[in-house]
Amino acid sequence: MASTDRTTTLYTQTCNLGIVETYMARDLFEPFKIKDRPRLRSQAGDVADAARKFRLLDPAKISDARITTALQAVGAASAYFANINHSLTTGFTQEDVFAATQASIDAVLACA
Amino acid sequence: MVVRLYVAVLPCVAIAVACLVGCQSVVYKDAASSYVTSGRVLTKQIGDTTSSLAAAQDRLKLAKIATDAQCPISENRLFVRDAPGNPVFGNAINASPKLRAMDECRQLVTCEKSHTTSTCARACYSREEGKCVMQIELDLANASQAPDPAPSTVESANAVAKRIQEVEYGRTATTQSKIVIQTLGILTGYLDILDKLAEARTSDIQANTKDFSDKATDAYNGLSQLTGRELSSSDKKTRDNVASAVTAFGKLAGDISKMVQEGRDADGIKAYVAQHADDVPNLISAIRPLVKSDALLADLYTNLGALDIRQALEKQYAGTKDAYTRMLIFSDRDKYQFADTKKLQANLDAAFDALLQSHNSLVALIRNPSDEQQQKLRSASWESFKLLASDFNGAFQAFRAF
Repeated sequence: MASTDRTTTLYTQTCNLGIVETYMARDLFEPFKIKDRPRLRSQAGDVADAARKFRLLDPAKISDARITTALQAVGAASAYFANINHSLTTGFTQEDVFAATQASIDAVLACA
Repeated sequence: MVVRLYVAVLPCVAIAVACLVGCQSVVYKDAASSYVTSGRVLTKQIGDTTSSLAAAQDRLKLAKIATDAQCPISENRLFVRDAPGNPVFGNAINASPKLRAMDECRQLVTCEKSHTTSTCARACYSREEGKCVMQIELDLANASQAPDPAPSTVESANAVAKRIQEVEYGRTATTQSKIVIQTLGILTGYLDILDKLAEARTSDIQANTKDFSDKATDAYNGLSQLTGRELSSSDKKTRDNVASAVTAFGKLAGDISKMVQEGRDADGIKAYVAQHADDVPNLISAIRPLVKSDALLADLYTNLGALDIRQALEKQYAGTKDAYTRMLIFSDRDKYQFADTKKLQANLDAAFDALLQSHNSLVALIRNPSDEQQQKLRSASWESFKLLASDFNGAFQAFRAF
């Protein structure tokens, strides 16, 4: 059983991940290219839907371990976006970011 | 004339002088401005923020509906398809012989499984499927409102409520936003009573507490009436938390009113208020995360909507032959902006902090009326409360770009 604090944190961070990805779909910083826009948009939509589904869950019924996994996944994906926005060096491709974000979506949905 | 003017000015000067000497920075509020009147604006804005989540999701659904010329838009309720494979409606239909026998429901079962046939590939649920969804909802709501419903019935009613929230267009004010609005109304009413207690205006307290007690009862009844039809399981938990706090407020107001009527001494009333000093912080901490997180998700959907609608605009712009129409289309472009997430979240925090701070300084002042520090705090928090009520409006307008 997960505490309300941790579920709230995961929910908030998932929403933030989605928001950051919508910004990336708008601004398209490297390594993202213009052709990546539809994929960013659609993945951000998946993040939003995952958050929305998560919001309706009863915290008492979610396992703590799953929350931990999801928090790590969302943290890792957010770190990619933070790196793109706040640093000069990027040693990764857009595929890495897409994969990390997809892993977050899966982990959040797995809490149900 | 001059004399009359002088007479009119004199009391003001007297008050000002008296204040310089004795009342420090206690704010004199005119009759029309109170926590309730200022709070009404704030309450509406916060309530609107909560329901903006529904509005933002609806914009996405609207974009989807618009892709399909065959959506049955004359219907009162419209349901929009998402990915196939969700078992909720199918399970509900299977559990009921009546629903199983309906042709409309058979179609719904097929389309929830896969979107391969032409009917199922549409963007909206067909008229027939919509009829079945409404029937499922009605039957389950009736079954779960029977005395002592089976736990499985309540559970599937909740699952269906959740599912409908996912697919229905225009499911406007969410339960949570109703809860938030009711609660904030109660909260500002209570702050008003504390304010009068702090000023020891006993006659006002009597009238106020009676009114407040009635309102709290109404709010509590309102919360209880949000039945299984609209509630998902976590909404229900929220409702229970908030409802118990609202009941506590109603009782508190009733008790204070009774004490005032019985002519109980001021110290007794003060002690009572101090005893219940934790109720308000508890209530605020119950609704703060609700409002903030809904606002966050609303921002995300707002951004998604902005991306989609700008794409659609560009397409229309490209397909338009004359320059004037292109200009009209272009002028729409600015309406679809990203949400100012940071500002809105900060404003929400400030709003709840102002409520909390007002309450704390009022309680402290009731405990110790001669405390100058608390008097200053009280007037400062009243000012920030008022400011917020007006400023929040501006922030909110910026947030709701479309």
